Amino acid sequence: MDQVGFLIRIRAVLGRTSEATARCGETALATDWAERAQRILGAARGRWEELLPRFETELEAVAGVLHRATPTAVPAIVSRIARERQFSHVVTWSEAALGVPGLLATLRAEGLQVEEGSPDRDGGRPPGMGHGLRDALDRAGIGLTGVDYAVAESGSLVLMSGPGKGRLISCLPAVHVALLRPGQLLDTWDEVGVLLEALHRQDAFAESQSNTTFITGPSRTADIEFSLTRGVHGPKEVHVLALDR
Amino acid sequence: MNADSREEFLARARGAIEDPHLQEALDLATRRFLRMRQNAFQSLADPEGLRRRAKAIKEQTLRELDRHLERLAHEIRRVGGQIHFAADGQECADIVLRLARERGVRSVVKSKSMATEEIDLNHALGVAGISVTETDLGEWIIQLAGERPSHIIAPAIHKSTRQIAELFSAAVGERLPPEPAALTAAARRALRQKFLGADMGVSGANFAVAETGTIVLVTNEGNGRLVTTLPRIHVAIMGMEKVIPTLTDLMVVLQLLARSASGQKMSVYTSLIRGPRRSREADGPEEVHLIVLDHGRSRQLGGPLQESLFCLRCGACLNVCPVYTEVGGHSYDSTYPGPIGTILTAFLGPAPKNLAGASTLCGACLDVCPVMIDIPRMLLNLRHEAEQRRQISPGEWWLFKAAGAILGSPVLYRLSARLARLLQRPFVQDGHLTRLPRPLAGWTRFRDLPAVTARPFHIRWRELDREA
Repeated sequence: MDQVGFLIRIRAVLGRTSEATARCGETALATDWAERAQRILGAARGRWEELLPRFETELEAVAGVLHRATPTAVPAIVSRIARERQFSHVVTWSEAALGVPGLLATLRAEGLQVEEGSPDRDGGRPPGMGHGLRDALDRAGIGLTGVDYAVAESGSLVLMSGPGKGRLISCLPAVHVALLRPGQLLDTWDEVGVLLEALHRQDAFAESQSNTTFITGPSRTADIEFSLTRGVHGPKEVHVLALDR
Repeated sequence: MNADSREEFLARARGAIEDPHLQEALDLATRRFLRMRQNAFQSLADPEGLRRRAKAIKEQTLRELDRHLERLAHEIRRVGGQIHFAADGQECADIVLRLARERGVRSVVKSKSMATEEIDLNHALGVAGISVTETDLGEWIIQLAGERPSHIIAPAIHKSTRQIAELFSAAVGERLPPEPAALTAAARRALRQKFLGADMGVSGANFAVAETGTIVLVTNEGNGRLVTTLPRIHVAIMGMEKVIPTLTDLMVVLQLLARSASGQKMSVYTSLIRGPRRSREADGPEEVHLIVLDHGRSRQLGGPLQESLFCLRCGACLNVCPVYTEVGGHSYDSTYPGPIGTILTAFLGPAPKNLAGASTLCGACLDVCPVMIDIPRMLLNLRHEAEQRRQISPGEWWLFKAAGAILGSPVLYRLSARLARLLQRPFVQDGHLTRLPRPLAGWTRFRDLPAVTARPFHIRWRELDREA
């Protein structure tokens, strides 16, 4: 059935006319999302110390692990996680998207095989899901990403796809390590809602990205006799590195 | 409930009640779900407020459903996605098959979707020679066993670890121990290969946001992410009532869904999918399709069963239902079991059936529902409908006609009470009727009835009145 026929059927049952439909569409809400989003983000930096303990409690409740670290300590922590699990391969967001200059070189100096899962070649078409990247992801024990936001009330991470920010890096490897910065940690999902409303009103956002994922702890299932098991399809472990300045 | 479906239900229910493993599994799962749900709701500042907000969102959305669907279609196309509308299951399956054929699809991976269960999509794809793999662990178990889900969110709770070990061992061709961790690891390896080789990912949609053209998918395992990221084509199938106006509304229903379903504050993964991979993105499908499904839903708009279209498919009403927790999902022999399933089954698809008798009308389902669907009232509606259509046995019909006449007339009522006092005498034991003769034997088969009292209420009332 085509769209018109489908909607006519619904209108007939609801007793509505297509004119009424069109009129309703004109009433746009006058909320200034951009301004509200600015206020929330402006306050986030100042609330870091206040929110971090709550975030840690909630993250641990869903079997995630929080590490507090300075940016320079990141390579040591990542390589320790890798060594303890006998992994040698790490796939990462692009260095620009991670926002820690020189990080990849230092990780390599620690003896890890590091691959940028989605290098952003200035305007050029990235390799995409060519078999090279699939193989790299399948080999990798660790996926290293940043986050766009984190949510204290449930210990969740918000990751938005986009140039240099491949989706599978936080999904295929056995361990996900995410870098969290002051200013990215929010209190509630209602705040995330405001930020998403503001972002989705920007054309540039729609043009550059197709996916936003909320992650709350490692992958889990209870489908076999209700016994809780981690890492069924996604990572078995989620580590969040909270980067103090 | 017509006589046939009633007898079938009773026969299956009897089997379920006599299966000790199933009883244990049902008990464990439903109790644990409920306890976790309770804990999760306690962490909310104003749970009732959140429920009311969610209900209001669903109410307003359905009132202008056409407008929201039109907006959704517009936005999906604007972000490079494609939208299709299917009047029924056949049309929906045809759309998927056409897409698959045109694009040379040979293998499909699926994430859990009740809508595709509803229209039996796997069967249609199988007939067309396309291999389909369910990737939710529970759904994979069910698929390997050739069965149907027995719970909305825990499809394989009726299977034992030993049975699952046998199914998985046969599927992967190696002897696996009956241990959940080992079985899960084996499934991860086997299904990872399916993901990497699939041409098309088919998913359901928990919601779709009209204002932004966003398809929303919630999973705990992460299979939803892989199904919608790895294959080059993603097709999502969604009942039309799941459209939701704004992202702000989405935040409300997401918080309720996870808490009600499994007692989590948030499900592990929530994917907001907005069209196909953009040119500078590294991964994601080349095509994203959304199929909006009617399949009997539009007939209920504005009608007495409309509220059932608010359903978030959390399964909480199953866990509290005194009938479901005894008879399990398979007794209903329908896609959606339990209290909400009884309502949905009464109008979805080409062969709806009325199982409204399979309820005690205790109201627990209404109390637990995150969007406050008045399931008991709708069950009464369905019972009334069955009576109108004479879908009940003639004996029952005459009995209730007679009861109606007696209860409607004081004279008849007193007369029959007196008659009953006389007739019951041989059957009274300690003030109770423990065993009535046919045709009333069914009433006392599993319970005692209090005997008709010697001094009825209206007499005692008169005496009290006099004393006062």
